[in-house]
Amino acid sequence: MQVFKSYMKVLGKNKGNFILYCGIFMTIMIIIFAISSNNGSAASYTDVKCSIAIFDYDNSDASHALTDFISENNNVKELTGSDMEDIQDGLYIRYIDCAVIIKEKYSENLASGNINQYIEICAVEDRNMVTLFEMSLNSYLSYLTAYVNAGYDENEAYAKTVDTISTNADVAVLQASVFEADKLNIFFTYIGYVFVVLTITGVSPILIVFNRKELRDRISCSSYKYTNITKEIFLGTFVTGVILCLVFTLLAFALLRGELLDANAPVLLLNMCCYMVVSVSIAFLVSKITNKKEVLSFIGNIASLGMAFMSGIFVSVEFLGKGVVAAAHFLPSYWYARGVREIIGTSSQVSKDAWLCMGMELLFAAAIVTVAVVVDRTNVLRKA
Amino acid sequence: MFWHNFKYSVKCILREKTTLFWTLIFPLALFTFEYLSFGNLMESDEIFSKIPVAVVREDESDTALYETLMALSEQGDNQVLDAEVMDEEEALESLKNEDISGIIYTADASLTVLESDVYSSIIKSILDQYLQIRGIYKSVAEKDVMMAAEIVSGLMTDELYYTEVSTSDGCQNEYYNFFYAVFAMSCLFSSLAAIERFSRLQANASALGMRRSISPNTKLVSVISEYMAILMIQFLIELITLGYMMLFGIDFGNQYPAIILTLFIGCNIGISIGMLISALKCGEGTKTGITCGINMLCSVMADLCANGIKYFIECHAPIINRINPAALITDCFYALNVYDTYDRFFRNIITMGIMSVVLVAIGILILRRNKYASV
Repeated sequence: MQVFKSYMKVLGKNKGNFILYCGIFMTIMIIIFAISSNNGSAASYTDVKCSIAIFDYDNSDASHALTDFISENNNVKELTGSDMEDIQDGLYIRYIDCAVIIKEKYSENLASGNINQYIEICAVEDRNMVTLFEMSLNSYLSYLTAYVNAGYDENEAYAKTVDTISTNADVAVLQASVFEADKLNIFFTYIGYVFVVLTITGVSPILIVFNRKELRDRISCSSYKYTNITKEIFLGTFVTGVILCLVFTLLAFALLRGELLDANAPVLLLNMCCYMVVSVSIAFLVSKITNKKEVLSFIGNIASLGMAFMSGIFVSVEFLGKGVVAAAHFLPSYWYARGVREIIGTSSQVSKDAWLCMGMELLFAAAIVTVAVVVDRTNVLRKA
Repeated sequence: MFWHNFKYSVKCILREKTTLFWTLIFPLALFTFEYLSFGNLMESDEIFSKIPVAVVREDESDTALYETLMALSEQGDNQVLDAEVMDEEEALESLKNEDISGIIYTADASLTVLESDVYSSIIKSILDQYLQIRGIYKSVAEKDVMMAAEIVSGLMTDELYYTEVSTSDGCQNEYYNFFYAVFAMSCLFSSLAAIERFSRLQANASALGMRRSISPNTKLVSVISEYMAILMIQFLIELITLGYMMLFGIDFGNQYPAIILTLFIGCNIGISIGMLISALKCGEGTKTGITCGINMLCSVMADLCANGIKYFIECHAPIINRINPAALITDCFYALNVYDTYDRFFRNIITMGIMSVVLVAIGILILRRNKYASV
């Protein structure tokens, strides 16, 4: 196992760079993971809640009642400040969907019904969420005004309005879907990007050492068969991949803890290992295409980012165009991301689609290694 | 000697394909991938358009709700739904195929949906309003039927009880943050060119540096000529990137002088970071690794990979956004796009200007004062 030992020696000498890249991408993953939100669709219907910031300058019973109504049916959020710049920043980044400003004299004008100039809504126009909130708010205000105009006193009008608002239509959900996007999903999906870029930028520079003319010629002169050389080099990359898997498994347990134990953890980790095999295969192929370290980082970043964007890793696959999704079927990262969704989407037994995805990943790995060997042999014969 | 050095620096930079890749090809490729993924996402996913629904009628006694749904389906500015009458089987099939967002049963004003999303909530809101207005009529009619009719007719109008206020006339597409971050990353990656070129000035970093150190050229002239050459090339690259993005229809507003100033200052800050790092006493590979790490970290914190990181930092540790050059560059683009005034823009520009002057001053001091043992 001389070649394998040499590989491990070279890995040891380059461990500084490898650890640096690992550290950078783990930090990026932690940052992205920290700000990701927990979204999931429940088994039964629940109303979508808008994120609202409320600024009450009237501070009356009427405005408090309005604030209570908004708070009960939406998520109220605090902004960093109350001026238009803070509201605009919150709206732009979608931290809030709307800002409701209740101006002074709102309660005084409630009886006359001319309250439209005392309630302002700041929002990005024509958004679905804004339409939903505006419908709900306008209903409340119209009912309240109607009851006041009908002769009910303020307290009775509020009580009647609250009673009216409590009438809801029955909604049935045709299919219950368990968590579609949660922290588990986000963590394992981002691994689809991180593994490819890490293996190409971290492992390929080690592999190209074996492409050096002097080293290659000395190995060729030896009694080592080409098959054995290739096998031992691939074994070395596989061991590196296993180390990567262990590191990210520890990171997963550190960040996710209980969630990982509740979910199909072994199958998720198995899917991750299958993708690791794909990633090291890609690194193996890239090392056969070029001998230059600079070109490795080009290819690493372009390939990983391109695959991540097209396969539903950075952007959920439901938002991608049909052409992009069709093209993504030819990328191993698409099958990995789909496998993660299938495994997390089922709470008990793992679906057949998940096993299919893992099978596809291993087939991709086999195909990529075959291509790498063919490219390598072609290069060798051309140089001979 | 300045122009001589400048000319050859430009030639060297143009032949350095690594640097050209990171500062030109990579941002263009990244932008292209991002545009393919979510260039039109706001229009397709966020902007409200009529919601397709199926209406299942069991008998003709549900006239009120049926007519309401048909009124909401009338073509025009107020169209909310695209209702089509179907039988239940056909409706369920359409729902499973996601051709419609919900099935409304007019007999009991109930709804069947595929999942809880904003479209199903909007449809439910319409049904809730119908049931609530019917409830109001019934409860008021117990006292006074005429008043009940008057109230209901008042509720059926399109009167709005609030005023919509626009906070900006600019483009409110949040996905443009990613494109601004691509610019920020590209500006910061000019530090890689700076590391490569300034390493060629240092005797302890390269054989060329040794020869240049013993030439009669003053260090200051060499440093400034390298700096200006990198600045010119990188600035041109940024203009090419800007033109490429505008070809795809990305709207940066019409304040082109301010946009160009932002890119110019951004290049300066990237080059000054590279100049400072190149003065460190370590190998070129390590310098490149440190630069890439700093640049990627700054870019990620300016929403390169995920939206909302910069705002999160603004809420919890705003000082980081005030000194993160990538956040300052993206904030300049945001301020130009969204605000009519230039206060925020000039605040960011001045901060970046001061940072780059300080970094360049420190870099020049270190590089000029380096002395080497006889080799």
